[in-house]
Amino acid sequence: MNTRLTFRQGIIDALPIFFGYFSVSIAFGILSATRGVPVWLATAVSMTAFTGTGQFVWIDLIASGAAIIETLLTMLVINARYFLMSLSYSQKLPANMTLWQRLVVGFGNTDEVFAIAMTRDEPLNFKYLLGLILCSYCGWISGTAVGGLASGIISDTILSALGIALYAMFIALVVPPAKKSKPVLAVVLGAAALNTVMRFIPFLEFLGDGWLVIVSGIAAAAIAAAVFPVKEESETEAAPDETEHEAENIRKGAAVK
Amino acid sequence: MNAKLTYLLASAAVTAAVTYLVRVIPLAVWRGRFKNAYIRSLFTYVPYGVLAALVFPGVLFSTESMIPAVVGGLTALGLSLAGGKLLLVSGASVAAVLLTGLILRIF
Repeated sequence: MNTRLTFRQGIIDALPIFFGYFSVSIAFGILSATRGVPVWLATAVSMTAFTGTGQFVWIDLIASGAAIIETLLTMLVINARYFLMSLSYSQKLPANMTLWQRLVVGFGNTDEVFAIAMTRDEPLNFKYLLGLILCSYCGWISGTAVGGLASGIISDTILSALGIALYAMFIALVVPPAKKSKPVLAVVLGAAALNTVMRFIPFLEFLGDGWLVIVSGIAAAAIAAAVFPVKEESETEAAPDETEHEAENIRKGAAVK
Repeated sequence: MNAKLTYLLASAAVTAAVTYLVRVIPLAVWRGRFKNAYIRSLFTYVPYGVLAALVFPGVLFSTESMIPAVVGGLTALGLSLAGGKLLLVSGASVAAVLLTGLILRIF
């Protein structure tokens, strides 16, 4: 039942991300080319920023000749949600992970890597996360370069079909825990419903998709945390079986009072 | 170096730096577990909430039209319920979207 979380397993688990990122970053590469950004620079942006929303907004910003300070503030607002996600992530990383490993893991904390890492039942380790991040990173960078160099060659139909790869992966990640635990199922249905409703409120449009996702996700989790508190675990820091035990509780819904 | 390129580089550097710092600071600073039971429960549930919100309703608009997206989404849901692994679910869903697109084009 438990898979060993090796570097190789990380690569395999991230293959859906690879294909999903490849298709999205091709679009980024093509868009950059049409705005006069050289391919090497578009690729460098993907290598250094490694973020979807932020990079597409960057294209808009440079196209309109936005001031550097405006770029800085916009990026802060768009990316602030990663702060909350990283906070949640920090609770799952082994306490003995070194600083430089954390510096690497933080760089690779995209929505998709976060999703796979956080839904693993097994305690996480650096090698596995590195596999996840490297595989995703390769998809993101190669797609950008291909999009910049070969825009127009790749069939729109195939690109459009690849667009669903990441969503399918999210579904595959969320269904098993939701099947096993009522509180998780409640969080899942609640967050999806909230997100759908908020999209139809015109006033909230300025928030953007990324923020609506994090707001509805956290709101649903906040309610669930009050209604179904997770039972206290022992205070021993990050003993491997502790995390596993916690995950086991969630899976069975046994942690619910 | 011309002014345009300098501007692009500066803007790209700011984008990368802000994105990185926001992601890495919580990981570098918070080493232990939160003590408060409510906060701990909250962070246990947050990933599932965020995942669900990422899927819905975004999945409906993930391909060129809504019908293939719905078929692809339902394929993923069905296979996940049946215990399918990540790569299988993802691959089958892409195939379902391609196939549906093809069928729609014929009729």
